[in-house]
Amino acid sequence: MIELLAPAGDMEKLKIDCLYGADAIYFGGQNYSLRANAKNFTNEEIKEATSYAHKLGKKVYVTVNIVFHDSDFEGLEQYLKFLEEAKVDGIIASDIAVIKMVKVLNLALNLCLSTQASILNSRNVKFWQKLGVTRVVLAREASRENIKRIKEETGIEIETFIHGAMCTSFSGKCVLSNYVTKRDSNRGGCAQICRWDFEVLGKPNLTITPKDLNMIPFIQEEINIGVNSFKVEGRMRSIYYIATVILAYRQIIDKIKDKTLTTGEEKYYLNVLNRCANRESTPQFYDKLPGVDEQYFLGREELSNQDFLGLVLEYDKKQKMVKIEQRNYFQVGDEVQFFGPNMETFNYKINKIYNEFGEEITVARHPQEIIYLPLPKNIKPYSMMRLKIFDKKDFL
Amino acid sequence: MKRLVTALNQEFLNKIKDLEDIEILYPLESFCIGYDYYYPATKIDGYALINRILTDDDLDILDSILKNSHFKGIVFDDLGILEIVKDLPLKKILLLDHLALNSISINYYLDYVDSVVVASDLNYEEIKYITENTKKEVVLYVFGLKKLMYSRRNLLTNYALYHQEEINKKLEAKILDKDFRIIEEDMGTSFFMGKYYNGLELLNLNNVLYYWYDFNQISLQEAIDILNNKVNVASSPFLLHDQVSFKVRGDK
Repeated sequence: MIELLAPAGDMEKLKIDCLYGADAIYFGGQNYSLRANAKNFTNEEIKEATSYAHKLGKKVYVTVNIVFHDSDFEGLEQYLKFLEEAKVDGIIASDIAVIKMVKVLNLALNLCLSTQASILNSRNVKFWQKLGVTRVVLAREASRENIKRIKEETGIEIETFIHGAMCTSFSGKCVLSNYVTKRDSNRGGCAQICRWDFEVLGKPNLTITPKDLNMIPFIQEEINIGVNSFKVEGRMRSIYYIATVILAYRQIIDKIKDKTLTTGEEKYYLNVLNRCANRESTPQFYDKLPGVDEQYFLGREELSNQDFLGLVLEYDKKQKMVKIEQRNYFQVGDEVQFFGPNMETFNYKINKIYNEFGEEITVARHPQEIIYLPLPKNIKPYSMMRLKIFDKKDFL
Repeated sequence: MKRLVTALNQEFLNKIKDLEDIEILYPLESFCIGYDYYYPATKIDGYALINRILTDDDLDILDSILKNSHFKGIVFDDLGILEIVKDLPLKKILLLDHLALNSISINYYLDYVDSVVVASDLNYEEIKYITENTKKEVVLYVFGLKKLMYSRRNLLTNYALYHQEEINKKLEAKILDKDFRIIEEDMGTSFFMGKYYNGLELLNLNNVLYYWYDFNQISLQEAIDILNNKVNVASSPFLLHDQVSFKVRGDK
């Protein structure tokens, strides 16, 4: 079983993950998670999310991945017991104290070792296997040879990142944030100093920001090597980003399984993914040491876009009318695309727009206003409307 | 008081050889990153420092080196090393940069090693608490060029190539009022604090196997002065007197 593992910063994103093709979802609770500033999940939401995902046959992993100080352990035991009661499938942890506690309490939680442990070798994996760890998230710096040997010598379940932002540092080996801002990177407060400019006397500013990761060209190879879970980064990203990325990788993985993925399609997905992140992406460490082309210089070089035009709320089959929550400006005459789970993306030219009172308008300019568009095709809630930038047929 | 001192060059070693209670820590050639001086295994008769994140291929080579070495002990970061040293008569000290932050975890690691280096990212009270609650003596980092980040990327080379400048493997940089020293080597790039980390106030804590003086990028005389309790370089206690912020217990 190849698992597509998706991030969720809140319940809405978890639902999007599930609908758009994730096999499993990871998220943090209110405590002990490295994305302290994501909305995250309350205990009640963890129960609800787990139940929702399980009904759809999806797995749920909760991040308990901060590196603890002595004062942080308060409430941890109760929290881990709660996670077991909530029937989450496993936790992602980096601190040996958390892993030992799960074992001492004999909790029915699968243990996944976080990428914070910076693992590049099989002996390190064996250390954690003896403690009960059944899955490892390898360091993002792992090469194909590293992954292959770890799999061969340990047989452990391997989870690798396939898409999203990269730390400049080995994860867990950085306290730049602590130094510059007194925000603790290893307890969820990272200020992302590796995205800042460093002043250098008499020279251009030093920037060390990596481009994003994408592993589209190597998914097939990673499946062959024995990677079990493909992880997408981005618990703090938008629903549009998550929907686009998860749908793209769902389709890529399925097409690889069916042996129908073409290089043209790969190119199409790559364009779509880069566009939705507003950033370029590359495979980074898998096949070579990243060089000058795998970094950003002169600032972030990100162009923000307003491609995400609306979220589909419902479709009226009789009236052939789609109800949309507006997310960005659009107007009559715009060429758009509808995409969503279990459907082929299709193009559409906007001919008429109605507001929530049924009045015809020419422009949808207000975020979250309710809009109706005549649409001949049935479309499901949680599908999305975006500007037409790329057309798949141009890549085939 | 036992002091663990990172080796500078041979001249430095000659000068400190008569000082009492000193063990020398030698950055092991090819297995260490971020130092001025590296030593081949054949030249090491004290502790060897191994601070790189290692691959299996690295460990295969290291395995053979360690089996034929005369090291007194090793200070190491990658837990994979435990597998190859478990039967060797070496003192084993776990470094785990930035990750040895609480007494509970350190006590678990102490089941496998002789001592653990307490992370220097903590404040004084947190370090004191750890020394009072660990079942074996720990190692305290009391002075040195404090590493803030370790990247596998060749960041200075990439920077020079992009800007078409001459490649310089050492660079000083700044963000706001914070200074950095940056060193690139084949195996990656290390970012350090501009000022030296000064945790000499930790010398009054007990349950300590070694107080580590991690000399690097410093003159021989300055280092020797520090060993004689005279600090003549710009230094900072880093977070020893601070609380860092984050969000562990949610109230959103």
